[in-house]
Amino acid sequence: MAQYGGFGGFGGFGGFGGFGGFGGFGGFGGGTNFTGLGGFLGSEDPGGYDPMTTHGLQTTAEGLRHLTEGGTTPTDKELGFSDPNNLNGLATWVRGSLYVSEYLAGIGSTPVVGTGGAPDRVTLTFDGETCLTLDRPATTLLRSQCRLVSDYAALRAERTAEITSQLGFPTAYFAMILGLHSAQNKKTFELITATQVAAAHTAMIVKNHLAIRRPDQLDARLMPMIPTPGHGSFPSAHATEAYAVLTVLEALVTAWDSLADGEQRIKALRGLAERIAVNRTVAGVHYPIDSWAGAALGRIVGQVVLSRAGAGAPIAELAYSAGDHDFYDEDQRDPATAADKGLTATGTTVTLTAKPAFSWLWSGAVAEAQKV
Amino acid sequence: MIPHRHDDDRIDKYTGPYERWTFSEDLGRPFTFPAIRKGPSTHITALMEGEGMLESTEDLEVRIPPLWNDTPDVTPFAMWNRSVDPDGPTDAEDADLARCLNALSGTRYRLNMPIDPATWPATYDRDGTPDGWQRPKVRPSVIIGVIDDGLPFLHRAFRDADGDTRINLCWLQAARADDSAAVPFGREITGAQIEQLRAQYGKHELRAYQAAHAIDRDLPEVDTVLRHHATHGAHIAGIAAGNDPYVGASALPDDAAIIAVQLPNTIAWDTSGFGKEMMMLSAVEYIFERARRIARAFNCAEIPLVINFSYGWSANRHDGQSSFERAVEALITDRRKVQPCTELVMPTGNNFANDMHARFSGDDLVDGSVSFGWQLKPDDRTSSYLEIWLPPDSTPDGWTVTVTPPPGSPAGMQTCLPVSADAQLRGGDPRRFVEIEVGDKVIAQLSADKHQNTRWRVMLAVIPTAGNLGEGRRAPVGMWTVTVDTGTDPLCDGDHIDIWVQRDDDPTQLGTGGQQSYLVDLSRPTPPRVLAPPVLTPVRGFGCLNGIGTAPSVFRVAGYMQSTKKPVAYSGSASVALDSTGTPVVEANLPAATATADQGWFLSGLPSIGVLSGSGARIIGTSAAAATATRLIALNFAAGKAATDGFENLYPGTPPSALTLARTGPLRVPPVCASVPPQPGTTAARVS
Repeated sequence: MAQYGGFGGFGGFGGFGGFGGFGGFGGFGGGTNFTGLGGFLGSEDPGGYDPMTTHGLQTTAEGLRHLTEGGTTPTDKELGFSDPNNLNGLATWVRGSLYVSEYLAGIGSTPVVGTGGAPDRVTLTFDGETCLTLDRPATTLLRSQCRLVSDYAALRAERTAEITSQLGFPTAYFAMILGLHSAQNKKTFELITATQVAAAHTAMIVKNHLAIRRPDQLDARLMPMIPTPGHGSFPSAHATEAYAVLTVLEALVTAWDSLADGEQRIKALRGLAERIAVNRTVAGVHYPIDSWAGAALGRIVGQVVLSRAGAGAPIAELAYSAGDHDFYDEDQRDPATAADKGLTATGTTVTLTAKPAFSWLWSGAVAEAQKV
Repeated sequence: MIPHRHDDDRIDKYTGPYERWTFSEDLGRPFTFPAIRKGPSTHITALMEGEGMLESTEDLEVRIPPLWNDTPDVTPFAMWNRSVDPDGPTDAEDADLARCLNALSGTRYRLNMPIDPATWPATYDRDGTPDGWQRPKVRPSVIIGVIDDGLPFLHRAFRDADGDTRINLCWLQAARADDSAAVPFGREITGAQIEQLRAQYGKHELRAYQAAHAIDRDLPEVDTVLRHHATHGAHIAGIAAGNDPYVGASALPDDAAIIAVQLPNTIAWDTSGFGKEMMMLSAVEYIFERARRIARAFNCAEIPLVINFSYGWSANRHDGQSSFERAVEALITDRRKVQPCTELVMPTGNNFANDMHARFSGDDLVDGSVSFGWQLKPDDRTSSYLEIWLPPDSTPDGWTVTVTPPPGSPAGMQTCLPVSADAQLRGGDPRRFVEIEVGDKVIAQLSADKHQNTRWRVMLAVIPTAGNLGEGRRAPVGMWTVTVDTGTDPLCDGDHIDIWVQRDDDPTQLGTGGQQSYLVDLSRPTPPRVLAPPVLTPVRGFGCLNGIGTAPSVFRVAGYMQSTKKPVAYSGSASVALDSTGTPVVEANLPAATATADQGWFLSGLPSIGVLSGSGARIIGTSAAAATATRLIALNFAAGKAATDGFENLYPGTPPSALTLARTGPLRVPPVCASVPPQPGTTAARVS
């Protein structure tokens, strides 16, 4: 019954008519771990009752009305005006709308056509400040990367369960590493979902400009094991989401300061982010350079989320100009190696202001520290 | 960069390129299996070839396991190097081991895996009687030896009609030791102890295994393998030596005694082919020696003996001349002089279709040179190894091997090695090394050595392709190209260059993270069609067989499908050459027979027992096929018949083509396992 749906509503996308246009994001869902873009959209939305209950409620109301007929309308208490304390009383999907609004309000993107041999590129801004520049990879580079996609196909058999259960947001995998449970970590799950949704939107904005064909659209031999997604290849949205969540969770585990093995868990989270990204290459739908771009983009998104939550540091602007390299977490993490492979910090930093909904969410997630 | 070593401190002076790779911190050591990786090793095992002084010194306690022949050509031994600080640094372990071997004054060693000090009894009496040992109730008509992992010695399948165990002795090589023992390490479980365990724990078999230290989570080489539903050892021992409804075979007689040896888990762990031979050879020697003790206890001559050893790896010489192969060949032939009913059964392996072998003849060379691909998979967390074997007894003049990493690798990695001795390296076998580096870190070792001073080998060892292993180095993923250039000294007619890739899978889910590499035929880029008959192109299944099972007297068993009687697609095959007329001929490593490996297209593998009494499991592969041959040979021996009595002569008339014979051998072993479900009444009777 709908009214008992509660958390079961995770994954629904209905009831959020204003975002109906996002139905086109079906490529994010459809897996056995379906969360779609509606990670929390529709969550806690009661919808309507079934006709029998609706009818029964009305006949009950008629039968009981005489008991309240002598009453008045006494309530004069108001909710606080523009008060973050109200957020706790909102359905999850409504807060989801606020997170998306806060996040997207500051975002901007500019396509720059390359001249004089320079590549086309897109810049991504927040509050008007450039945080990331991605050069459009040349077709010759993509063709060369198909070789690596082909090499990774050797792992398809053993990664099938992971790949197909990560078609949607792979929240269960992050939860496994941190021992999260919905009864104890409601806000942490909400923070993860908000970060994933922010990352997915950002990736789509950038992908749309760069318009890179998927590997199987260049090389007939790659034959992916999952449907070819209906959006560009570069950067990888899965890598963006995974590295955005990683960035936020690294900060959260540090803020918790309560896990004796926090360092090990962060190592495992990094390994997981890499694995989620690489799994998409194994599946045959991403070049390794998509993971490079996605990891860079995800780190920016994660830092923006933290900044909006009032928990961020100045964001170091990044620029990525892809070379023909395989993707490894340790390479993108090490500044010198990353620079060798095309990912550089420009030296500029960007500071963003905090927003109320994200700040409320962050303080709730920090309060969920586990004492281990 | 690797540190400089003085001549006497060079581990390769006494051993070979695998040891150099495995024990050197800057080469492959950080990626080896845990027993080596955690080092430094105070207790270590080895083989000595030829003569040498295996005597203890003040710093070194040497132990030789029970041997059937006191003066073998290849001597297994274990040593405790008291001068090693177990908590000390590991960066010079290669030199420490070299000095240790130097003190033994032998000529050549095969250095093997370390062992845990907890498995080292304070006193070892090689001639002593195992504590509480009693001879079997009656003189055995046959003794079945089983060497494997995870052996469930309490299982009902190994009891006689009276409910008493038929297992007379079981050596757990890696188990916690008592204060004194008649084995140099580990512990020996006697039949009497098995009865005591049953009396004390009844049907609580897991508690009994724990009490017997056969489940021991503090010793990784034993660990909790027996808590699994099924193990390779349970399955194989069940078929070879058990009477159980889950096997569904004709019963072995009650006087078929069993001697078992459980190997350390690492035997199934490491991917280099390194480190196992001492444990394996000790196991064979132990079964031979203990079988003789049983015979002596009955005042009789040697008793018929068949040993099942369902294990192997893929690289090696494949000419019967490796240390282990020469040693078991001597044991079998010598014992047959006093008891002709003596067999060692081994499988041909499961890699026929995995592109792990190539053979190039002179016709395949262009301008004296040939190139082939070696594909390294992503996310490989273990080292990968490739061996190139030159023709036996040949001395290459001016040959080189060039290794080119995959496209997109850092510049400057292409490396060329002359196949000749490095004059700078004095003592030991002729050899030469070069490292392939990225930055200043080693990612591969390319070596040439004259193996046992009889056959040139070029070996390429490469670190894992996986990142995040904490070493800040990894090998490029993709196709490496190897070029062999014979210069002005071409291959002689009838000679070959043989290549084998070392086994690198992830056996029995031990979590090694291995990914199997494979060879690529650059002149035939199109993959073969599915179900097309195998052909004799250079990258081939023919010759891809168990690298430790090519001794002439070993009873090699290939696998066939029961429903079709055709070779199963994975079953290892003998090598095939072309004679002077271009006709294929089978080489000497021919299987002795083919046995059931799969029951049908949709009934893969064979049924047998699980770990606990009353449980069953299926396992696929030539291991189980070998075990069926062992069982029937044991039944034949017990009945006073020849080993292969009742085996079908496959080709009584016209000899078959070499490509057929190489995959079957001359005989077919009849099916042994019935696939009928166990009958409840029978099960209850056996459990009680």
